[in-house]
Amino acid sequence: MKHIKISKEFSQNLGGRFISLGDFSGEKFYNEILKPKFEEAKNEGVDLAIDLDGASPYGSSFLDESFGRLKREYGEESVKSIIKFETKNYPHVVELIEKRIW
Amino acid sequence: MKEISIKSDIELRGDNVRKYFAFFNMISNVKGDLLLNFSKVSRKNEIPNSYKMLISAFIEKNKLNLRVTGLSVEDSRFEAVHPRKIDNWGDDWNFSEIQPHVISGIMQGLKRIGININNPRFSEKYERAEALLTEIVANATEHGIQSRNINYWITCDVDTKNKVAHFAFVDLGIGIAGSHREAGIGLWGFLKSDCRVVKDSFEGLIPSSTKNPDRGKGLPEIYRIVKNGYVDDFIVVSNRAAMIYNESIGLQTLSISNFHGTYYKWTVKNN
Repeated sequence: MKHIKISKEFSQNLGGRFISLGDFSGEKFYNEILKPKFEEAKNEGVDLAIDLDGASPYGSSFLDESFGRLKREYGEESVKSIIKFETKNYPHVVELIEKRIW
Repeated sequence: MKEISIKSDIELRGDNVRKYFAFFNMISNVKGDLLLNFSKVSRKNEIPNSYKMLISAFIEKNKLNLRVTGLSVEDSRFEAVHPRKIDNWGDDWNFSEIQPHVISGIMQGLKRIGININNPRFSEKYERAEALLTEIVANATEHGIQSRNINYWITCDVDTKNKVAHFAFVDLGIGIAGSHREAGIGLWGFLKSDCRVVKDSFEGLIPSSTKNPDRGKGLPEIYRIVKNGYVDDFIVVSNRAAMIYNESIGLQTLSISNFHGTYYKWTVKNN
């Protein structure tokens, strides 16, 4: 299994949608971390665990431009079978992604 | 020089929205020199940052030269609202981008009322309250304040005694209904009132003015955060519409005199 801890590998303070609109955007997270790690996991046939805790906030623009874009690019079935969320504090964010972003 | 005597309330509540914004509508039409007379205002030492913020936004937009009279504190303290210095935010408290470290900094006001993201009891509430602010800023920047070269402004007034933090945001951009009309999405946009456009936008009943089907999630997410009780006493004012939501009255909309921008106010309580 591969892992991403967003607060350590990306930022504790998350931004909005596009790189052009400010720091630590969903687009930057997608390009630099999520997409490469997802492709590694997919090619190796393993899950990708995403640890949400320690970073905030998870706005819809950030989530749509990262996890939503991942679904649009690789397909819902592939993304849902590989991505596993880990969180103690933010089960509501997992629900947001699964119900309103995917 | 235009002189305006402040007679109306300096704190925005659900029951004085029309009166409050009628005053700012008057300021929005002033150019050049402006004298604000506060002699008839009670609680002169407690002028909220949210009030100063709105005046500052119009000072910048209309290039006003502001003078103040009738305050019991030194006038210079109020005039220090501009240039851009309030609560030690220095030059950083108005922006045209989403700056996560600044949003995080403003959210530190919640620590003063005992709401800490590292406390498991409050981590969800803190994250959702921070998400609300980020959704508001993201919506404003994605809908053009950056390309139009205008700023947004954020303030937080902390009431440590009652353990309440009051947040406010303003951008003097095109507004929610204005954005839909500019995008030219169908005849409906011209037929519906601003109140209906704003309400439908927050309820997710109309598509994003960007015309991208994957967009348009921000305002419904704001409304979801409000309805789920993470924040209280939510007010949004944009163009000719005001939308108010609180636990006791639920959702209410009312038409107002035109406000050229979008203004939000909400509170976070330690409860």
